[in-house]
Amino acid sequence: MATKDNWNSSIGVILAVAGSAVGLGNFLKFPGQVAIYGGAPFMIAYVCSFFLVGVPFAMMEWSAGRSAAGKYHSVPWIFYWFFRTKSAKIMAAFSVPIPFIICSYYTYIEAWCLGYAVNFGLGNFEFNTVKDASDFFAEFVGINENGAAIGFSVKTVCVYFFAVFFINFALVYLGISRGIERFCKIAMPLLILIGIALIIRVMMLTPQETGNPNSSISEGMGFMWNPTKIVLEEKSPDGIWSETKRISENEAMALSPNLTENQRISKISIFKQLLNPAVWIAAVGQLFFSMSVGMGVIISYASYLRKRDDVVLSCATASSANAFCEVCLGGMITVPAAIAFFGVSGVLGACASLFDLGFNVLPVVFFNMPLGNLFGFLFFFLLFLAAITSSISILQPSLAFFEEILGTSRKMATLLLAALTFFLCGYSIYFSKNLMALDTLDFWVGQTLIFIVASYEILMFSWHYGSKKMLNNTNAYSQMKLPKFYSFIWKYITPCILILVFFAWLSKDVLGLWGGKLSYHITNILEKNPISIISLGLIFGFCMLFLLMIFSSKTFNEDDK
Amino acid sequence: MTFAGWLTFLISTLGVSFIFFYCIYKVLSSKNMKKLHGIENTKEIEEDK
Repeated sequence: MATKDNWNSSIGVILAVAGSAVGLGNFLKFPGQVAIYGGAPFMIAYVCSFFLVGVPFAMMEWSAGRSAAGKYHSVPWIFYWFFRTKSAKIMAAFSVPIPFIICSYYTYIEAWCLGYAVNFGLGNFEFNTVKDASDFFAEFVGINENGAAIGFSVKTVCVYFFAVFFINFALVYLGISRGIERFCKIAMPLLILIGIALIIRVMMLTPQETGNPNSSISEGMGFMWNPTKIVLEEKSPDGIWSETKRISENEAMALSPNLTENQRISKISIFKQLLNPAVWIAAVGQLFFSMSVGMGVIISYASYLRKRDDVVLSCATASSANAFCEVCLGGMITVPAAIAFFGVSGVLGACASLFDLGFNVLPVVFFNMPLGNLFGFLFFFLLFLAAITSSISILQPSLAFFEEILGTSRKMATLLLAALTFFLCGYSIYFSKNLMALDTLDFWVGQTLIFIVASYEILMFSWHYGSKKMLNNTNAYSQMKLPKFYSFIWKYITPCILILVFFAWLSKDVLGLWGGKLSYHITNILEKNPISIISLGLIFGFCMLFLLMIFSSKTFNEDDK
Repeated sequence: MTFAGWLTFLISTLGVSFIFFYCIYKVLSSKNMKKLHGIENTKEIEEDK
């Protein structure tokens, strides 16, 4: 099936894939992970994961997509074209809903970012404490009760959601070159420029400006990047010492004279931290989700390349762009600024999740700094750009699927996808109490299902299709050639790490084995929570629908020689 | 921030920045930058699977 739409330039597709990868996680989740696990140990694990999991996976998807260029653009066809097995059709059916279900709640979060940017720009905020910010956030997104997010003022999310929804589908409707590429060529350089401006502002913060003489940017940077982790430990009645919280050097000096006999301050070396499996699991997880692999986005985007386009260089550039935004921009803005204002204990106490950091703590930080409205606007506009370049990419695989399975035009496929996504968005927005619908969909699709499909993908490409064949395909027409041992990495290293991490996460954080805690998502199902049941029903329903469409499609089931 | 912290920070950020800008340089200096034309392009497709 030939395509009439292709990327206009190499830099265009690279910026689009980089845009797909660069998202909220780069600026909110990554700095948080570095702060929790310690700079040096986490970065060592991150770099290893980058070269052994992230880049190999992305390279595989780039190569697979380019191989299908001019024939197919959606994951089901590409999977089946490569593997020719029934399992490929079944897994393909499970892969289709992943991107647009993720998109349904991602556009909701994107609307938050736009809303905050607009309100900062209009000077509507008055955040003197974290409580002020969290009260506003709760009202803005409707956390307090279902249906509370529905409203039409600048201080409710609904208006921004409609704007964001329209922009997303307008760009996707315009197509690869006129919509997505053109937008990313402007948005991505703008994002980087805004990031640099924010770094300069944050790095120049003084204690006079923050109003906190006990903390500073240096302390914030040290908290993130110092290799040795300082923790406060407490002894239980059984005599076992356990970590209570992480603290900075200054806080350790202040606490030392006042410690009780059941408290002590410990310094944990980098080597001991690297022996903690949680560091590696966090790094692999962060990289895996950050690079947008396993969602079909890269495969779909790469299928619009020419057969002779260089995928090695394109993949390396897009992957390094994501890492640059994460390490260099994200790592120098959010956490250092928050710690400069609130100190380590203040930030750790206020942040239970990445939403807390982004929408409860940072608005207070920006409001209270000189020219805060301007920098607040820039920060949330940066988050909005990061989010929208991701959300338009997430829509593309589903759009290509509808075009190919229904044999319809891009216009009709866009309308159909818009209707489905709007329905799901409405579900996330209406059931906003405690962000339960969003959280549940993210857990089952954005974490669990994506891991399952990604594991299948890497195993099938490297074992069934063949890693050596994949290596030859990838190196074809490439300036830089992947070395021969890459075949070994694809076949053994990447799948092993991915599957090990998935099972470790599943066992400890979901099923509560090995001293972990049973996930509340499982508890909700056992307690027959309506939102959990409906969410699972929706996911299952869409998977079955697409399975039916795939197995009953005449064009899909014709033998392709 | 300690000396070791500065070292970690500089190695991480400079390393990533170097890789990123090197790749951008290779892309922009590549000779293969001609525009794509959708319909004509389908004739170039080879069966290389």
